This record gives sequence, C-alpha cells and structure tokens, in this order.
Amino acid sequence: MTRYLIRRLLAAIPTLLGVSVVVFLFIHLIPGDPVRAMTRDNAPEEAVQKIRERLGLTRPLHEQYMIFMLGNDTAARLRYEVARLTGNPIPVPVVTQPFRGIARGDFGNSLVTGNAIVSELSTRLPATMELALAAVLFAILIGVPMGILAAIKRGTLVDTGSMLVALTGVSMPIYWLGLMGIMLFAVTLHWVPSGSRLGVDIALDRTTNFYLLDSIISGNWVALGDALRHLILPALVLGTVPMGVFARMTRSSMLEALNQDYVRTARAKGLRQSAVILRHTLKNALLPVVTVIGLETGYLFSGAVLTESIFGWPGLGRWLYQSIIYRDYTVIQGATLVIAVIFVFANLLVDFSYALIDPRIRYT
Amino acid sequence: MKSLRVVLSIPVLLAIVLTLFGCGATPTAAPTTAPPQAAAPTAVPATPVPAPMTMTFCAGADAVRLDPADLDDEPSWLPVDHIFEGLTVVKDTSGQPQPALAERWEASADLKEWTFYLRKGVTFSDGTPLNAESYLWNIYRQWDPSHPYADASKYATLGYYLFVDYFALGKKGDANAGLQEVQQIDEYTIKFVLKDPNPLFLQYTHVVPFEAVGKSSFETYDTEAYQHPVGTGPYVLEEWIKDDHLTLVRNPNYWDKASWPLDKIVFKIIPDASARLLAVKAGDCQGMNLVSPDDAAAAAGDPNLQITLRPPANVGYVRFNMSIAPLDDLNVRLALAHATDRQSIVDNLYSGLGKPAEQWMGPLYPGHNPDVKGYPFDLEKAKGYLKAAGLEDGFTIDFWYMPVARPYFPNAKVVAEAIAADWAKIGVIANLQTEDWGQYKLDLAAGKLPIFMFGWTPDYIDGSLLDVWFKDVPLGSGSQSQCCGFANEEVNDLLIQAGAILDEDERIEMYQRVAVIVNEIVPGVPIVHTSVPNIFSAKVQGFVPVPLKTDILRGVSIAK
Repeated sequence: MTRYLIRRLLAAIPTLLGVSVVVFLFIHLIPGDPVRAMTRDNAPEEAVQKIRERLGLTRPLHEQYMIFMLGNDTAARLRYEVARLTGNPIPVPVVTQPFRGIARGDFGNSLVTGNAIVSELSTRLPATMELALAAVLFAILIGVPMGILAAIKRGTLVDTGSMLVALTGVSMPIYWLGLMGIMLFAVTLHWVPSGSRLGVDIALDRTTNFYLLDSIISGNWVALGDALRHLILPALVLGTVPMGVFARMTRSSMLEALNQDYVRTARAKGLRQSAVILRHTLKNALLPVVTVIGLETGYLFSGAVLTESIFGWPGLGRWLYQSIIYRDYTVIQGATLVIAVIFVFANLLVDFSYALIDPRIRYT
Repeated sequence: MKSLRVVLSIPVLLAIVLTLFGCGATPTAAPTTAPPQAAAPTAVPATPVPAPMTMTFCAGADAVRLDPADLDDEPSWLPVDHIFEGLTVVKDTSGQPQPALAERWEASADLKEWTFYLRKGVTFSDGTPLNAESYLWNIYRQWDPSHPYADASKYATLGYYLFVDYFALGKKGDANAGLQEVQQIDEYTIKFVLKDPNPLFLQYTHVVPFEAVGKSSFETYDTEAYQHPVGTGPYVLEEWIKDDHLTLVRNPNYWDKASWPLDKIVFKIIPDASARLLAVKAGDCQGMNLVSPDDAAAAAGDPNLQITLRPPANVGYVRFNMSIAPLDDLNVRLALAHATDRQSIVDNLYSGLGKPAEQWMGPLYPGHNPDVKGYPFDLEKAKGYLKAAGLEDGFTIDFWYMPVARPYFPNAKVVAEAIAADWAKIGVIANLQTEDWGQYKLDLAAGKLPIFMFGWTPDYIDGSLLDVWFKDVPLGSGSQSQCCGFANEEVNDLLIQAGAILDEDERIEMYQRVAVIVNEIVPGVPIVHTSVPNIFSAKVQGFVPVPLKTDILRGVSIAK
C-alpha cells in the first residue's frame, strides 16, 4: 500500500512540471503586451519599458521560465555561472522585482493590485474550499442515497421521481438557480442573506480564513451561525449539478452491481437486505462514484465563477476570471497552477480511495 | 435493513435540518442596528446611545489600490473619494468645483499662476495637521523626481504617477512640463506656476492626483501604503477583505462632520448586477451602482426602492478611421451616419436611461451647440450619399465593438448589432469584431481599426473635452485625433485658443464653432448620452448624483 502511494505521489511531480510549462507558455504566447494592457492608453513608453524590465519581461522566454520557477536571484546566479564556464562576458545584473520563484513558494505580486499572490491565495483558496466542500457534502448526502434508492426501487415511482430530480439538477442553469434562490430565500422569506461570507457587523478573528473553522477555534458561535447562514444557499446552488451527477452515477453502478452473481449468492445465503445492499452491492458500486466525486470536487475547488459572482463570494474562480479580464498574467499563472495542483491532488485522493475500497488495486 | 434506512433517510433529515435552520434564523439584521456586542445590559438602565448609522452599498467591483496618485479604475475612486479630499470638490449637479481643502483661490491675469489658500484646522486621520507642506507632499511625490517616494516603478503599479499624463503636468526640471513651479507662499498658501495659460487648472484640483495624502502611511508601510491610506477625508479605512467588502468609519478628526451623516459605510462587492439588485431588495444593501438598464426598469415599479440618475455627461460613439478607404470619402461617412437610427437604439436598448447624442458633447457642457442636430435617420439620403461615392452597391467593412461594459454601452455588442442591421439596409455589410480590451485600445490608437466603438466619461465638465478627439497632439498622448485621420487646422487652432483664454463666453463660442465643423466632417457618429443610474432603498435620503465618475455619499442618511 505504501509503495503504491509513493509511486502515485512521485508520478504527480512530472505532471506538475508539465503543467507549469504549459501554463507559462500559454500566458506568454497570447498576443499583446500585458504591460500595455494594464497601463493607461497614453502611458509614456519610457514608463512602460521600465515596468517590463522590472518584471523581467524583456528577457528571453527560457530565462523568464527559469525566473518563474526558481526566482530571479537563482536565475541571475545561473546566468553568471554559465557565462563564467563558457567564457562569455559576465552579464550585467538587472534590477528587477525580488522574486523567489514558484518552486520556493513565491508566486510574485499581482501586476494590477500589487498584492502578493500568496497572500491573496491565503484568503481566496479557503473561501473556495469552504464553499466547495459544503457543496460536495450536500451533493453526496443527497445524491448518493437518492441513487441507491432509485436502484433498489427500480422501475417504481420512487425511481422515476429520483431520476427526475437528478436530471433537473444536472440540467439546471446555475445562474438562474442562484438568482431564484436569492429571490425566494433572501428577498421573500428572509431565511438567509443574499450573499457574502459573513455579515458586515460580525467580528471574527480570521486565522485560517476558513470562516467556519475560525469561528469554532475562537469559540465565536455568533460568527459560526452567521457564516453557516451565508454558506447554505451558495452551497446548495453549487451542489445541485454534482448532486444530480452523483445520483445518476450511483444508480447505474448500483444496478450493474445488483445483477452480479455475488449479490444473488448473498441473497441466497439469506442475508438481510441492508447487508446485501451496503456490504456487497454498494461497496462494489462505489468505484465509479468515487471517481466522479473526485473529479467534481477538483472542479469545484478550482472555483465557480458564476456562483461566486452571484453570491459575492471572494473565491478563486472570480479572482482568476478578473485576472484574465485585466491580463494580470502573474495571477493567471499562479492561480492556474494552484488549480492544477488541486486537480492532481484530487485525482491522487481518488486513487488512494480506490486502494481503500478495492484491495486488488494496490497490486496493479 | 435498519442501517440501510439510516442511509436512505439522510436526504430527508438534511432537508428537515436545513428547513428548521432557515426558519429559525432571524431575518437579516437591519444594517442600522448596533452590533450584538454593543447591547447594554438589560438590568441597568443605560443612557440611550443612538445606533450608528451604517450604510451598506453594493458595488460591482472592488477597489484595486487606495492611492490617489496611482489609480486608474472607477471602483477605486469610490472609497478613495471618501478617504481623501482635493483642493476643491464637485458636490452638485452642476459638476463645477467648489471649496474643499482650499477655502478660496485666485488666478493671475495670464492664467499661468494659481494660488490656493488652504483651510485651517484640518488634520489627517493620523492627527498630522494639514498645511502647505503636508499638502504638497503628495504633489511633490508625483512631480519632483528627487522626492523619496518619487520612484513610480516601485510605488505605482501603473508605472508612473497620474500627474505625468493625466494633466500633462510633467516633472520638475523638464522645460516642457505643464507645471513649472510649486511655491509654498506661507503656512497655508500654495502657488502653482504653469508653463502655459490654462483656464482649466481649477478643474484639475478636484481630481484624485490633487488629493492630500498623509506621508506616515508610506513611512510605515512603504510599498504597501496603498492598503493603509491616510487622508483628510470624512472616513478612514477600518477593514478591507478583498473582493468581499471594504469598511469605512468616520474620521474623528474630520472638519465638516455635519455634511456626512453616515457613521459607517460598507462597500460590499457583488459582481453580478442582478444579484446586487436582489441584495438591495433583501435589505442587505441600501444602495448599488453599475445598474443595468433592465434592472433599472425592473426596480422602477418597486415602492421600496428609488432610482437616482446622474445628469448625462458621458458619450458613447462610433468613430471612423478617415485614413482608411472608403471612409476617407465624406459621402461614405455621411451615408453611414444617416443610416444609423440612434433614436431606435436608445428606445430599444437603454430602457429610458439614454438620450440620442446629436453631437460629441452633451447639453451639460459649456460649448455644446444647440444648433447642431447631428444626422437624422434617413435611408434614402444615405443611399444617395453612397451613390455619390460610387458605392451604390454597398461595401463590406470591419466594425469593432468594445469587449467591456461601460455606462454608455452596457452591452456594446447588442448596440453594434443594431447599427450593423441599419447599415445593411443600404448595402453596407459590417463584420462585427472584437478582441481583448487592452489590445483593442492599442489597435485603435495605432489606427488599425477602420470603425470602432468607444466612449468617454469625463473627469470635469468643460468644453475642452473636445481636445480628446480633435486636437492635433502626438499619438500616445490620449488624443484620438491622429489615430483616425482627423487633421483639421481650423479645429486645432480653435481648440488651442480656447484652452488658453479665461473669457468663458469667448471659449464657449469657439467650442460651438468646433462642434459645427466636426459635424460637417463626420469623424464618427455620436450615439448616446446616458444617465447613469443608482438604486437605493426608499429609506435613503440626501444622495446627490453628480455628473462625474463616482457615487459620493455626502449628505446621505437612512430614515428609521
């Protein structure tokens, strides 16, 4: 088992390196000058050139990648060593913005706001993760039992009803659903707030920026209640599509498993229905469901632009979207890379859970 | 079977819990109530403390930086104009500057020297008194290269301070700089000496680069000072959670507290316009900006809401590149202008918030010419012009529309489609194109776009707005005259003269003459002037929509 886990972890490294190259090239090959895009139309060329130099954008592409990965101090040292060894003239150091490189955990600063990207990530990633976790939790708690029920009661009204709900969930336009949810639950019933993560009058020590966790750590139950009230509606809206997907996937996997010989054998042995379903059928039907849950979780962790925009949720998706609009390429690089890492780890988790669910996978 | 029942009952239980949780929750607290921790113990009769008056204003986008010398976006103006103050302020619908940090001012006869007398008794939010020296700190930062914080490549994300290009005031020591000298006459008197006569200088003094900035923030936070603003304005920054909310509380040192009834302002960020409207309806916000025409129409019938309209000061237009054939032919430009049904566009796409533009400057501007009526929609006339140009069978041309929403073009593509449909009636096929906004601006400035949409929301109300489009100044200086093959000596001379005289009647006459000439040359088609709407709760009182960029909450209060 341990060897399996280590092998999977090591396999993630080249994947992430590949992602870093693709992200870097993708941003740099887009036509247009990012510095011109972020400055005023009539910015003097001298000022614009100074920014390009400060950001290292005047350097060759491979050097820029080296700076991106290892920082400008390491890149300068490497340039110096190469020149010394090859006998070429020693390069004149260029004053650029200090940057330690993503390999050392420095994503640089936003070109537009000047804020450190790591600092922005520390607030936005928890916001997105909190929302995504709540949405996935909702989707699992509703979708999976609904799928099981539909499979057990195949062909009945329960099956039809469940799959109707699942189909509605899958095909529901999030934008419309979000606005309708606010209209009903915030405007008409006043059950929940219309948006944001916390009421403006609620004080909270933001240690982890996971508001639920921060509330519990600080014993601030008022903030906990308020954060929950703010979380419910966006989580339900965001979880609607995955809920439908989970329900449909669970039903089809369960139906396939229910037709297997071992299920018939279990029933022939006189096992209780609950044991047949939970111990024999569900466990075998779970693999594809877990795969889908992993993929959906990775997708939700990468941010949900629409949900975050409608509910004023300051998460990763909205941030990335704005950065694309503003051509804030350091943020685009940083955020895309983080999203890629999340996907890789979500898939790793899925692989690990395979090993837990099905012991045969450990040896393949 | 029991455990299976447990699993299957999870959704039902969850639904019950959610419902109970929701029902048990109290409705969203009214924003004017005090926070829970402020409640007095019930056993002790306390002197009633009036609840702080808080307004939550739903904004469509968050501020980028809170540094008046380094911002180029409307969302940043919103909090910045509540934290900082300029020498003058625009606070009514006239759009004209009135005393703020300067109690009074005077200009020399040749309009080259402007003297400002600072208000006494004003302090920054950190307690530093405002005087000539502390006021000029921010001016020197932008203008004097020897200032310790002058390195814009380090302290400004724009890479330069606004002075450089915004008003062409340049740098100290540069013989061509618009601002040649800054003098500290006495503790409360300052003088700006300009290179050329400039009747507009007073208009500059209410715009952000002229706001007073406290240096203590820079001394403490250096390159992160933009997150810790120190100003002399009515409010100070209490909390800023990026893309969530930005909270301002009263500046205890402010000199004119009576003009600002609100104790606390929360700018809550909700990017989606419809969701912002719902937040106002739900009572979570008491005001909002960036209202779409559809939402304004939807809100009009709601007795709990009110809509305010800024006087229409902006313009959205279609510009022709007169150096690209066939647009170099006046008949072609006239044909396109007469084939554009502005009235129909405004009636169908602006929900009553727009007025068809007859000329480049709206009626609010001194220099607007009431005799210029634009180009009436007349397809027969348009066909006649095309025939005169030898293009009776029409032609095909690229038509670029803006990829971003602006108050004058909330949805540029839809407007472009309407115009293209009109032009198709005379045989002109417009290929609609767009691209990344940064590239769009570069391409139009480089003269690559034959026909493009653009617009303007001014910083001040003055006829010199025409300079932007028609004054013959070098490329890259903000003017669109050279990008589009417009070069008219008479217009250029008139604009130069009008920019250098104080006699307002004479200036107006010159600008009106420019309007006539421009109308004859047809460098484009002004399409619309819009009244920028805001939506407020019906309980909000005292908001004055000024015809400039930001929503200033001066005088705003909330009824109980």
